[in-house]
Amino acid sequence: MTRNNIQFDFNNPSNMDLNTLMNRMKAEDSRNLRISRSFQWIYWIMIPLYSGLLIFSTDGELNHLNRLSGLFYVLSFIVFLIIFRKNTKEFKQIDYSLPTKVMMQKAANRYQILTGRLLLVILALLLMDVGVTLKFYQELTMESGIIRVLWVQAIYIPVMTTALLIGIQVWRVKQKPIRDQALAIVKELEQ
Amino acid sequence: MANKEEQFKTIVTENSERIKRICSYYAPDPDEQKDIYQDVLINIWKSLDNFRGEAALSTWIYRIAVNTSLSYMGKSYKKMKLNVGTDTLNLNSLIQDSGYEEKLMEEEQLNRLQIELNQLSVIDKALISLQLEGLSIKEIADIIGITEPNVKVKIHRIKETLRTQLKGGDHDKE
Repeated sequence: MTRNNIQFDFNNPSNMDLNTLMNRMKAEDSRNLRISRSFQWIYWIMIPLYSGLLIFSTDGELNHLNRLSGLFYVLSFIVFLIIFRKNTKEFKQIDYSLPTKVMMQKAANRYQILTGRLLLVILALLLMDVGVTLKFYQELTMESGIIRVLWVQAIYIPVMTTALLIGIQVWRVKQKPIRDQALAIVKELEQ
Repeated sequence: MANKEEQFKTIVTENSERIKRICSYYAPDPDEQKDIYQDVLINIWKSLDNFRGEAALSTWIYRIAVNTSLSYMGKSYKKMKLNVGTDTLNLNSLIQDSGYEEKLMEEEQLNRLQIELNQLSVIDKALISLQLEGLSIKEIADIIGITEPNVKVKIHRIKETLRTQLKGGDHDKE
């Protein structure tokens, strides 16, 4: 919500356009709900669709390895869906009406990097890795199975590690300072 | 939803001065004050569904106003200023010296107080802003989330420091 779009007469709050603000807030609430639902629908459509196409399809060209690969893709989608739902729920529950100390503790926990969420991301990436490896295992032409696996890993691991490192760097710049400040405040309050 | 809108309008109308004062403590710049004020209103709207009446409405409003003001500063917590003026309510409660109240009306003394207030930590500034609102120790404890004795000790310590500094002492600054 861009605050600059609303004109307040701060020195004369009775003239403030509360209706405009409320309309914008309602629009924002509906927009967030719509985005959240859309993302969930994508997963709810992709998961059964991929399950149908890659695991349970009667297509004779799908062998066991293809089906197994599809299963791992679907599992990784399920884990990503869990992460998304967890994130949405957590950010929906930010409550500014809590006592300052409790709110700061919650903020510090929310912006912690080593949480179950990171483990879930790693799990989703590992499941995806297995899916990708099984898929390309059949498509690559090298004779040795190990070389084929290593070939896939040589591409997948650096790409995913780079993505993870970018994510960690974004956290360090954007979220870690907030977490550090929130922890400093909690510490001061406990003194 | 219509009920929520009515409730929101009533709360904002009845508490606009209170919210405005809290915003003005934390932001010297009128534009920033407006931004914080709007953020407070947005957070009141968002928190309205969670209001169960367990805390007094005024406590609830102060929590949102203080938490929003603190969060507004983001990474710049330490740069946060606490602004007072001759029109600030309960200014004399900081010094607890009847003779000093008149001196505070002098621009130079007020500037000194302003400088000293800005040396305080973020939480001390928040405590002082609530003290300036004339809230009781219990209310401040409910808003900040610490015990009453802890609030009492902290406020006493802040006042001691301010008094010493303003009378020319040399307490260590943070």
